[in-house]
Amino acid sequence: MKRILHILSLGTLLSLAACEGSFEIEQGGEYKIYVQAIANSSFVYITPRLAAPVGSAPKETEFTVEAQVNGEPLRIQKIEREEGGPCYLAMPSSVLDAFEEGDEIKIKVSCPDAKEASGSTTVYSGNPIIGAEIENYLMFKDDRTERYGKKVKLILDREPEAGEHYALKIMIVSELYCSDGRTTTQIYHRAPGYLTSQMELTRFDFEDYMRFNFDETYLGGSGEYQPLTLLPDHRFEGHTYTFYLGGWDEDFIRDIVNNTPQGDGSIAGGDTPSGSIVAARPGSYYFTLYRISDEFYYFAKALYQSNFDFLSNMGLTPANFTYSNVDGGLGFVGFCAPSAFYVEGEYESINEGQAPR
Amino acid sequence: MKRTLLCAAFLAAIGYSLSAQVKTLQDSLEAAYVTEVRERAKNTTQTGLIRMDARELKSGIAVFGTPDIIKKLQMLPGVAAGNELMSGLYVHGGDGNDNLYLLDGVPLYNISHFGGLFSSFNTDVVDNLDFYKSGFPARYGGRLSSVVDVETREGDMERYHGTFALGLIDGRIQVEGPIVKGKTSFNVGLRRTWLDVITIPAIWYANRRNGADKDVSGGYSMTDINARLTHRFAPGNTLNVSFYTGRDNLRAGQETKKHQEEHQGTDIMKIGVKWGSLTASVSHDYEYSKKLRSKNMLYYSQSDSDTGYNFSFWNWDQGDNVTAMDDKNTGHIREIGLRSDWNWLPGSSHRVRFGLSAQYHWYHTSRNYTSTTEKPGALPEKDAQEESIGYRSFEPALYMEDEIFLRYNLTANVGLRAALFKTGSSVFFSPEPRVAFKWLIYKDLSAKISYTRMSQFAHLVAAMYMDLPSNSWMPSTDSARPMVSDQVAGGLYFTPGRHWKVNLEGWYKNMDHILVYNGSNTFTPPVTEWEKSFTEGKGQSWGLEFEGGYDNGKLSLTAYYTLSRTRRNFEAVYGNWFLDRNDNRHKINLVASWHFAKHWQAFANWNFHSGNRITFPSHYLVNGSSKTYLYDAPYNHRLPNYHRLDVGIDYFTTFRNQHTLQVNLSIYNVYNHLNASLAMLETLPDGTFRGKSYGLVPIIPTITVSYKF
Repeated sequence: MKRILHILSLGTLLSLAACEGSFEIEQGGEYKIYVQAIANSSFVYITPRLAAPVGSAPKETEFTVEAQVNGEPLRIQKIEREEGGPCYLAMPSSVLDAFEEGDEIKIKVSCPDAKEASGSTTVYSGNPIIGAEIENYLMFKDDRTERYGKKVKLILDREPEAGEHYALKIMIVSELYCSDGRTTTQIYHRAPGYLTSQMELTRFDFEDYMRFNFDETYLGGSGEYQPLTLLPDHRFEGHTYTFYLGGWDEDFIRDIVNNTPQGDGSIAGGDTPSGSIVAARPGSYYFTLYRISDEFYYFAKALYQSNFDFLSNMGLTPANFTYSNVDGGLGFVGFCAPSAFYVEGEYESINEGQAPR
Repeated sequence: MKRTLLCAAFLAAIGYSLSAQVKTLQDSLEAAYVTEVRERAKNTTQTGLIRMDARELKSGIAVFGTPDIIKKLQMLPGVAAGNELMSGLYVHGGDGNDNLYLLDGVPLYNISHFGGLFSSFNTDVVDNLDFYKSGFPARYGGRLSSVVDVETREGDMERYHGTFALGLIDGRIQVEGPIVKGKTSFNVGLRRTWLDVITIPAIWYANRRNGADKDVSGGYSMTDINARLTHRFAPGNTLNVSFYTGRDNLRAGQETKKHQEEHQGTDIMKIGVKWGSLTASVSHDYEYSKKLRSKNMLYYSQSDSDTGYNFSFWNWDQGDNVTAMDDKNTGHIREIGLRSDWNWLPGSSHRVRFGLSAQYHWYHTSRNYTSTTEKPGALPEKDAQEESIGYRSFEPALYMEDEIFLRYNLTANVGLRAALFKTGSSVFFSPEPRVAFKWLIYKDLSAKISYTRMSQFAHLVAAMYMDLPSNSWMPSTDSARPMVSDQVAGGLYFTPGRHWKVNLEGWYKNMDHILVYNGSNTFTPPVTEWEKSFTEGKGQSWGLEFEGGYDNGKLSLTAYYTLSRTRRNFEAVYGNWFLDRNDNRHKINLVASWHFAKHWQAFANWNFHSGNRITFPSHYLVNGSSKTYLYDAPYNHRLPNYHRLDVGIDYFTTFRNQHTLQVNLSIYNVYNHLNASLAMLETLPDGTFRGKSYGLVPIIPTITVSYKF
């Protein structure tokens, strides 16, 4: 919080003191291929785009994508998407030929309008989540209400080694079951938190919140915010990783249940189930932990730091938001080893004996 | 009458003759001085060495009324200044935190006041300065890019005298003289700004306008004290005690009374920042014989900072509570050191220097934060956060160098420095060879070449390119290894004729394990696990420096030109080499001084360099109706060229009592060119872009009155 205050006060000070002028900058350079290629143990997800130089109009183009693992070509499958242009899957010829640790994956993208772009990454082994402990903690209390959040401890297969990078995606699913047999499901994408109360805001550290939209990474543009959070190394304790979640999502469902008259049938309007609410399952948790390669980590960190690029543009901080490991182009080629873990929520039955099975 | 006239004529003739002789002597001394200055570069073995004496350091333009050593060095070729008006010194592609500043042989870790507006060196007490950009002799070590060795002046052993000066925002007083005539002397200098005094009426007026419910306070002051005590036991047997302290104090506050119905509370905001340096040394110079002499020194150096703020808010709407936040950051580096330096002349063709040094460092940084909410009838809620980190390290070093006169026209300086650094269980050893050759091609022309390796065991932990008190020094660790540089330099040094000099020097420098901050953007750099916020990388710099000058004692004209290229490679920031922020490709400095009348001397400097580099988007992607901007490399654009003209004029007169009055009028940035300090990208209605720059430093006239007594 204090850091935000610092930045704002500096900005105000400078804007008051400065006398401005303008200058021409070099524009209209070369078009470049922008590549985001993320490999996992089964395939490589490649999204090429043609990046227009500032001052020039955007262009459509046709890409040719090639991929190799240890020098052997991979099969390429083109997928058309509604937004963001096509993407490509590069896969071994057989699903049995999964990538193995140490394999080197090379990507090459070309098009008629820009220089060829290429990059490579190395396959890592993952570090699966083997358990999760979730417990309530008292988050807020006053004369009338008590609010509880969740303290989550993920247990990994092994202790992360120095230099390993991880990212986490959290999905919370809340379900309501109605007497007509239909179910309404709410899906929330959340990021791990490290503060347990408002008072702890003083402990807020930007480094702990390096998150970005998961979909943007894949340039899917679905519009749904799915934060992927880079995990700071110092938060790991042995092979466990602990964080906090607000608990609002579960409370929201409980509030609906508590405020909906029995047998009313209308919960939120629209395509909702009818009949009375017979049961609720406020929170089932899906954790996806990604062990990510250096390139992925650097790129994601740069993406996060680009929120503050104005400080560097003003010449006040290093320009640490420009990462790319693509030769001849922009973007990155990286690897991630995902590992998912599901913690099924408890049913909170309204009408005894009617909980779905 | 006739006799009287004859006597008068005789005396006048003698007087004329004497004054003519004095003038001749003065002229010859002046000529010798000019010759000595002109031929310095040609005659020394080292490349990249610039020597300045008190006279050079005190003359010229005085920004804010204070001649500044660092601002003089910034004008030299091979040096980039970074942000305008600050004390940045980016030498041969260095990072600004890799210069070794020595004051009477004692390392100084913080050399700037008020974010860099002034440096810590008071020219009233400085005797001379050696500035090495390359060809570092083996006796120096611990920094990658340059050595700034400043020596204060011994006090006058025979008579008392001094200087009193009043500038635009500061005042200076310097006094020296004998304590025991011919044996013991002192030299003391004091410098203080009075911005805190100047701002009192403004604050008073602001409070008067604010009324009874608002009270503002604040002020800034800087104080420097230099002292040197010298005692001569016998010729060649001298004891020196040196002391320096520089303190900065910045405070600001505001109290606002708030009323809610019949209730009343107060919001309080207080900011206090104190920082500074302290050095103290005792040294003993002893001449055992004409061939052997030594200098042994014990010293202490400290740089510390204490920044804090306190906010207290009264919240009637939220239950009449008072929330108070108190944040305090402190840091220091302390060093105690021993040096023993020896000079030995074993024969006519060798001049050997050898010695050892041992330094013990204490590094400490801490941050304390408390937040308290008090509510009537309830227990206070309190949250406290405390983090601190401390290191102790030991740094011994041995060196030996030999100035070898290989032939009548060929000299070599061959040396080796071996440094060890221990922090906790981490131990680093750094052997550093130093070699320089000078070939006197003929009496007016010499050629030199040098190779040096330097290492640095201290890292500046800073999140921003600003000289903030919250920045701290930390030692090398296993995660932040010692930085290393290798530099080759060479040049031609020519003195064609009595008044001319032409020097041409080139360098190539390679730097390894240098650090760049890669953490979140904030004013307060990390405390614990600071290494994780930095990325290790490489740097390279090469360039060509030209210096051409004419000096006849009255008129001095010098032109400097630098053509250079500096680049960096930080794998985690960008997967390839990129040009550095301070890659000023061309740099031109024209310096003139003209003693045009008995009491008048005029100065002018014109400074030009290619703009600093900045990072702007190079490409973009279209995502529906929005654009995503992409960057092809860090520092991919250049700010507009920097240029400014400074002029100054001195009037000086000597009274009958030999006291001198000097009035200096200096105008910084005469034609008020607002050089870009910051820049942003602006999108024009037609979709094209242009840079929008912000200049912060306008024309600054300054007048300083000095009285020498």
